[in-house]
Amino acid sequence: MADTLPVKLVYSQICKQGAVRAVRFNVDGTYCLTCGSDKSVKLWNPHRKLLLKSYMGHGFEVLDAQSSSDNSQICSCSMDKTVMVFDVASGKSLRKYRGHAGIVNCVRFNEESSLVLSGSIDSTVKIFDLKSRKMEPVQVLDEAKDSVTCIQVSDHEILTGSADGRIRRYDLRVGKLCTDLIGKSVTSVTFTRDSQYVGHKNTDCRIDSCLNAKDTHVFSGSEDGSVYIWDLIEKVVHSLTFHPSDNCLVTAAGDSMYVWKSKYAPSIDT
Amino acid sequence: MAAHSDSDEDETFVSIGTALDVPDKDEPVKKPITVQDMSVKDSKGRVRFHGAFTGGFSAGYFNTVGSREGFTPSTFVSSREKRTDGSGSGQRPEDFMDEEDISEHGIAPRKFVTSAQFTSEERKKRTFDEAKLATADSILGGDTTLLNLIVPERITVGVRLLRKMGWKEGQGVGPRLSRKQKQAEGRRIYGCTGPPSPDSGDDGLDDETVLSDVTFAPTDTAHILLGAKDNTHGLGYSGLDPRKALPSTHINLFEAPTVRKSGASRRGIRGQGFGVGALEDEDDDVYGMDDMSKYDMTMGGEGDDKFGWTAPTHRGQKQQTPVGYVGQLLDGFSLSSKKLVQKKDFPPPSLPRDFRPVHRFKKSDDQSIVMTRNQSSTGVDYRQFLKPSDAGPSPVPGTSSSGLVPGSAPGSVSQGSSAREKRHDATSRGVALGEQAFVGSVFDLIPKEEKERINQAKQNTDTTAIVNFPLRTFVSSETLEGSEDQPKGDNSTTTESTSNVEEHRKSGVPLFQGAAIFKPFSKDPAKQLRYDKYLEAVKHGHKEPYLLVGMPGKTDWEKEREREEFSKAAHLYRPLASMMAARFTRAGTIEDGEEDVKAEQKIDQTDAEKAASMKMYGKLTREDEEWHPDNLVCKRFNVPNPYPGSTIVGLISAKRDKYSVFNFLNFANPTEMAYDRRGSQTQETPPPEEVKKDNAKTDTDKTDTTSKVDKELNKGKAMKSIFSHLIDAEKGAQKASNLKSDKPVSFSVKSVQSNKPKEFKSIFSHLEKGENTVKPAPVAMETDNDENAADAGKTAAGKSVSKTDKFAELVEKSETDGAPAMDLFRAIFRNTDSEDSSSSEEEDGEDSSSKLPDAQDSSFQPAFSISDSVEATPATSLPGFTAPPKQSTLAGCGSFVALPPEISPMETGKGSAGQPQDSSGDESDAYGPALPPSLPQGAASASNDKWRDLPAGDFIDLTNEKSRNQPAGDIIDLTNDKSKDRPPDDYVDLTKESTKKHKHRHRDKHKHKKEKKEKRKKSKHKKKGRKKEKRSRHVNERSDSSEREESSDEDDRETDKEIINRLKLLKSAQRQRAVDFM
Repeated sequence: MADTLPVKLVYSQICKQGAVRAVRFNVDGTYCLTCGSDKSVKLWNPHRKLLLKSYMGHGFEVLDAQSSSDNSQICSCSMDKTVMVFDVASGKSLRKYRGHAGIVNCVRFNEESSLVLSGSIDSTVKIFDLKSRKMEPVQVLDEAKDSVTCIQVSDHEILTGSADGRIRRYDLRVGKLCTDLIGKSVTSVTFTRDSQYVGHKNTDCRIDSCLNAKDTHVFSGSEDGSVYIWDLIEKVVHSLTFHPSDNCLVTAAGDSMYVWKSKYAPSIDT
Repeated sequence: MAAHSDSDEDETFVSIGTALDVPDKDEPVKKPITVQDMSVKDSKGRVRFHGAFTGGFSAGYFNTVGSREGFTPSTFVSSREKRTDGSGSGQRPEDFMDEEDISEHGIAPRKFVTSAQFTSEERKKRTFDEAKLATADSILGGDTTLLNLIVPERITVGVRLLRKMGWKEGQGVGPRLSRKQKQAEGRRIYGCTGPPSPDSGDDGLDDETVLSDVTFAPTDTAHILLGAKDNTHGLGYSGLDPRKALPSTHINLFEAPTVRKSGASRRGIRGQGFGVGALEDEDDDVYGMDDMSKYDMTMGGEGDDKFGWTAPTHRGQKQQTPVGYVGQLLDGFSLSSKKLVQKKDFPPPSLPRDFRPVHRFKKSDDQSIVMTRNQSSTGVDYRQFLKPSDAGPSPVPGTSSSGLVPGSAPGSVSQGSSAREKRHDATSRGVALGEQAFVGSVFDLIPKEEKERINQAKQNTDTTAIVNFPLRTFVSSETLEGSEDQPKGDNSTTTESTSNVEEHRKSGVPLFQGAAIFKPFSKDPAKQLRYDKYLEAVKHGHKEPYLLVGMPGKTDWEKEREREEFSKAAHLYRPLASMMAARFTRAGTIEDGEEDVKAEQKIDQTDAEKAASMKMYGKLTREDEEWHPDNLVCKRFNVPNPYPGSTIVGLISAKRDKYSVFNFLNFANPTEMAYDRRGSQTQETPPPEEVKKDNAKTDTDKTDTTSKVDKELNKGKAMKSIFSHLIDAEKGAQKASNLKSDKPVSFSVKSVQSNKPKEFKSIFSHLEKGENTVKPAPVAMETDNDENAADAGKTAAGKSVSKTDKFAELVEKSETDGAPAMDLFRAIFRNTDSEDSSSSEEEDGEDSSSKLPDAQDSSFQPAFSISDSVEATPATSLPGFTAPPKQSTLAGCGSFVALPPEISPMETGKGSAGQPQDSSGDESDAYGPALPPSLPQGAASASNDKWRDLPAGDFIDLTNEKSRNQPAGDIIDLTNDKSKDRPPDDYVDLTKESTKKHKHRHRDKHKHKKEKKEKRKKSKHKKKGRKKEKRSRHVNERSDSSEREESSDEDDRETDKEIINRLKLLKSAQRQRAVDFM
């Protein structure tokens, strides 16, 4: 079991974009995105320690980003209340949605990358359609009573965590909203792999990562159901992303990102 | 020179520029070129530039002209033949030029041109001259010298003509002008004025000696040339005047420019740079010269300039101090001629020594005051300004206690009123003196009855009047209702209220401001009075506020109408504060946008949170709601829309815009109104004494008019709506309750059998219409009761005695059994109750069109009904609920005495139907009405005995399909569950968390009904199945008396702590289950 844990710090990299607000793998885990407080989003190859491109255009700190499933687009959200969609190759911004009334905390594509879902501090999740040129959201999920801190999107479900201590699972197939009270404010939610089957009980494995992030411990529930516990980093680990298939974890703390792999992975000299 | 690299010859290079010579090693080193050698030479190899210090450019040979030797001065040649003709001798510029200068690009290029002699003009002239010479001159001979002297005039014809007309050079063209005209003309110049001629003013015109008849030629002005605009500059633009921009001469700052004019002269078109169009305001003259005249050169003020034109008139001359005046006069001020009058100072009245600033009211005084005020037509109720808190010092200490109206705020007024009572006013004095009565105001002209009406209306503004109104009936009701199981507080307050209104006010009944402010029925004082009472009841959260109002001697239809009116009015004219409150959410709490959800969230929030805090995630912390995704979102997600035809997006409960004003103004049809009313009825729990009182009041009212009402009931049956049934039912129930104490009990029980079938039929016709799936059932239930009551008089009482005995036993039993459980329920509902009521209040204000709130309300009810009726404590301190159980058990259970114990929940449900608060439909009510349709239409004669014998299962089965699917659905589940075997441990669990379940039940039910309101779907039913099971278990558990006994014993000591403990237990059980599952 321990072998499969990414316990070795392969390298750390100062991203040179201020504080790294979030780090996200792309769909197949070959690249990762870091969101910096210097209004930029950077695209890396974490395995080769390469900075590929940086995307500018936001007006304030970028809080979250995700690349589309075909790696052609990047959506990012920022404290400037906007959600932007970048073209990966050219670095130009394709869309800039100004629908939110407050800081946008999190942003996700849907499975086809035809929608952008963004959760904001204005307690709404707004769904923007990328296929049309409309700037208005297609649907607004305003059930949350407090800031929406995180979103996850699966093929038929939208999972949101809110600062009102609730997890809301919008099931599009059934047409139901399932609200779970967690008690404390939720800052991170992820799906488990088997969410379809479990149904009612632990549909949403909660990464308490950010809950506990203040004390340098990171608990991350991953796809294999195990819990990773980290207390290795001095600074606050505020964002982490796990490789979709491989045994690799990228965390962000302070102004740099850390790439973790399994014990036996060769370390890359810094 | 192209440089080729040796290595690769294949490639072709394009070389640009001059390549450096490859230094040859063998070549001797060159001498460096000195500066002297580097000289610029002209095409002929001559050095022309000699450096700045050695002469610069030179012409000729090193600035020598002519030759290598240089300038050779021309020698003077004196000869008579060769005179100096200017051309031959002397120096010409050309002498100093070399050929370069004369060449094409030189400074004096020479061109070959046709000499004047050979031009055509000259030739013409020559021929002309020759001709003249040939013809005319004989005198002069052939000598042309004289001819040359004569030069032909080179003036044009126009000028010549003008001269002939008397024009002279320097004059203007035009008629001659007089002196005045000339002067005027000089001033009136627009457009481009020429430079002002220095001598235009003083050309002798000023001279007074000039004769008036002398005329002057007009001044010679240049014509205004109106050239066509052929450029693209702005209008009025003229180029920058370099002379202005760059003053070349010395600027004398200390001298004002002479030509500068102000004002009118600036009107002309005067371009002065870029960007100033004709339509723009001119900037300051940026290129103009600054001069010192623009500056303030002196420091300090110029003497007394600071006063300006408002300066006092006598300024300047020194003020003279009057003789008697001691002191100094302020500068700028003068003594007034008038003397100020000293103001008189009146000392405050001295207080008597025994005065205490607190006034105590005597009861008798107060009453008498009320009476006198009511009789006198002052009509102003001073007491409505009063609040119990601010009974401050009475301002007039010594006045008699009889005339004193207490209070601080209206102190002066009360003083006035008391004084007025003693003194005469104008009219009374006039009457006393035997004068004719004087028509003082418009109000004196009003007929007497009108006046009375007005007065009455005025009095009605006082809420205490309402309280006071049925005082007599209170007393009687007290005697009726009796001493047996009334809570202490009730008795005391009511008795007090009979005697002391003020005390009652202090007991915390707030003034209903809305009533005082708005009077929708002021035309009909009686009605207004009823409305006020109604409002009061609403305010105190009666479920059936209208019942308390009581309108004796009216038909049902009228009552119904009035009730609707009241609820409408109460909606429309509700105090602003509550309306605003409905629009804001409390900070920190979790509230939904829509109020119906909010309330229950609050209810279960606590245990949900508890559960969450114990990390006990599961059903408690989970809520499922129907949610409609947007069609496009579904498409993008590649998911079929779960609600294909749905126009709703989002949560179904959030379908209305809660901020719309029109939510408040929607009173379209009567059924909706009815729902509204329902909502309003289920408002806050009344303060105990109020409920009690009002109940009693209305009860007594009704007993007086029972027979009358009965008649009218029969009369108005045709147009009765289901809601009228409801009212009647409640009335009946109340009657029954009244009768219990001092009248034959058989009354209600007897009538049940005779009237039921008919009534049932009508009920189910309602059902079949499908207009309301939830409501009719309970209504039917109640109408059933009602008829019992109504027809009581007709039926014989003898038969039912035994039954009533039994029934009494049952009541007793239930009371004793259920006594302990009461505490628990009270503990739960005390808090939830108020919350719910507030929310429902908001709802019914906001949402009249949607029927959800009602559903909620009704779903909320059963909890009360069950708990009250079955487990009612006889003498606990929960007064609000004590009265109803008695009634209900009486009215409701009467007919079902002999039913098997399994059906006991039904009885309770039915019982609850009778009580006014719980009259609205709930599920326990719902299976009441399910009973009758089992009886065939023809079996109207079916006796009580017949379905007394029915087993429970049959009993349910008999209900028709409709009722089963609808409200009765719950019951069916219940029965089914009963038949099923349940694992005992589960059961115990459930009982333990009965409180929790209880709350959950509300929500579930609520949802259940909500969904029913929507299109009923099988799938949904399935989903709800589990919940129903739970609920039914719960009910079942409660119904089971033996079970209940032990559980209730526990419940007796139920506290929050215990609830938590149980939650923990449950949690552990769940964990175990989870382990098993794994």
